[in-house]
Amino acid sequence: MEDRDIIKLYTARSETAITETNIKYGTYCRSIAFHILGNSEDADECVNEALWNVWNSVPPQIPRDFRAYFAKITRNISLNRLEKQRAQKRGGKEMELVFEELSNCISDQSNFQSISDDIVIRETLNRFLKTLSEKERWMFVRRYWYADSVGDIARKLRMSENHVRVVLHRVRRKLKTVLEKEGVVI
Amino acid sequence: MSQAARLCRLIGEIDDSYITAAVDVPKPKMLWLKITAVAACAALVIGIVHVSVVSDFNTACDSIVYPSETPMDISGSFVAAQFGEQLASKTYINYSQLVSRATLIICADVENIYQKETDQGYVIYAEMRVVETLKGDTQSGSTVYVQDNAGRDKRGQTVSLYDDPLFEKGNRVLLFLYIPQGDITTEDGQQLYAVWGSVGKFFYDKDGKYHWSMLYSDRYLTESTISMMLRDPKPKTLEEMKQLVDNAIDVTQSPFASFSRSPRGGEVFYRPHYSGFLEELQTKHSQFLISFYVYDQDGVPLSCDKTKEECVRLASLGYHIYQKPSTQYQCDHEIVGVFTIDELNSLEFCENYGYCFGDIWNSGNDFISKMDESLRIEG
Repeated sequence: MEDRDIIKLYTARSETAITETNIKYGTYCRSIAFHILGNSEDADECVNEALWNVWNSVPPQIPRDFRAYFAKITRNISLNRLEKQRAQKRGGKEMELVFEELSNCISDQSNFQSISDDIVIRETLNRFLKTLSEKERWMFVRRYWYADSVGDIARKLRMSENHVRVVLHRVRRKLKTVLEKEGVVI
Repeated sequence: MSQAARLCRLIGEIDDSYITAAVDVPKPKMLWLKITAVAACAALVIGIVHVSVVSDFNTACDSIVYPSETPMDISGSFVAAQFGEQLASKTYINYSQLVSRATLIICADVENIYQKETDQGYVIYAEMRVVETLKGDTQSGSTVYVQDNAGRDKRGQTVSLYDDPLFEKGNRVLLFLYIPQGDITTEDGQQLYAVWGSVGKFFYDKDGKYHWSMLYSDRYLTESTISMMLRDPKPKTLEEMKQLVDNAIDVTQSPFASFSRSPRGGEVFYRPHYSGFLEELQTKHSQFLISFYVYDQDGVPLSCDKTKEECVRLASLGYHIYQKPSTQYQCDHEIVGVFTIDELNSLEFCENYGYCFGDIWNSGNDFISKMDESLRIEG
């Protein structure tokens, strides 16, 4: 079923919309949640919660890219759950690595008074992504949006893991420079 | 929240286009050619090839008689992926399963390809010249027609359910084929076959070996394909393939060979290996991937529709049930579920139906392996 037809079902308040969404994107979103949480049961619960959120938010919202919309909701829910799990010293090991890598992008910001607005940072990130090559961007998004492991990325691109690590390292360094240059405080 | 966690969240808010673009692996770009003349020639050649490929794919195959209803069931890709990565990634199909379920195993050259767009997606029909038959009764040099649930969209992009590569004219392939539902034949009455999922598809390459389609693909394995992993997916020579087929050819054809009859209404059968395994695990709280079939009062397998109804009923009771009605992954009418022992013991069977619990897709000899602790998911 086309996305627009699924959205029509939501606007008509037909519960089939949820089934169709699950059929079309359930696996995709389950994979996102699984990468973040490292546990299939938790991933299932996050996707169910995301489906419920979509049900409650569409309408009034009419997403332009339905897949990305559902995926973002799933990711946020998964990160919320991860946060709770981390507080209990649990959670996906891959995400610990992701956080560790991302922390390298953040310079010492102790001198700054206030943190930047979300919208400002988001725009900076979008501009930064635009400057990357297609492959660099793909790697960055797969690693830090989808939380793919370095090994997975290497396999998908048929590269060595080492090569992927080097590219990601360079991209993170670029990001750090951009954030510093634009005075973004995380 | 740590700074890194905040940054991670904000990365989550990047433009939708970046998220969507990262779903597919970027195609490698052509290298710039420094010599203009060479570039021009190359462009010309590429242009010709492109036109040729596109024209091939846009040609409808008049000789194929289509059934009124397409036999494809795209939900299969979804269904097969529903088990969860953790479990499914440890789930394998082995060669004996591939061989026993294939009606025909051939090494063949792809001579022509035709494409049709159906309501449920693209289907291609490939005309293959048989080079060698590993199982079945086709002759070398004869033509076999094979359908594949895939195609190219108007932009020439591959659309494939399982992200395996499309057949291309000139490919040499080794295929595990079966007869699809719907009784499709060509106009002159020739049988149309389907690939036994993307799992049963191998491409010959310069190294003289047949490469499993999933690892041969330019695109990466998506979640939908994770649950269809092939045990030992390394490239193999034709001789090695023959050896595998010969070794597996005697494997029991029927999943219920150990029973003299199928279960009737109110009966529940377990395969002996499975039954023993269940007893052993009575006290443990684990989940298992298990397949089963449903029969009517007289022991006749339920139709797809009826099976689906039963799936819906069981799912509505809270069980994790999935059905794969047609081509991929399982036999026709087979249902797969992820159960705990408690759930299995208290499964609310329909008294009008008979149930037979069968294989668990696992390494080894089809059944759940007592040694394979990795299949378990602790509750």
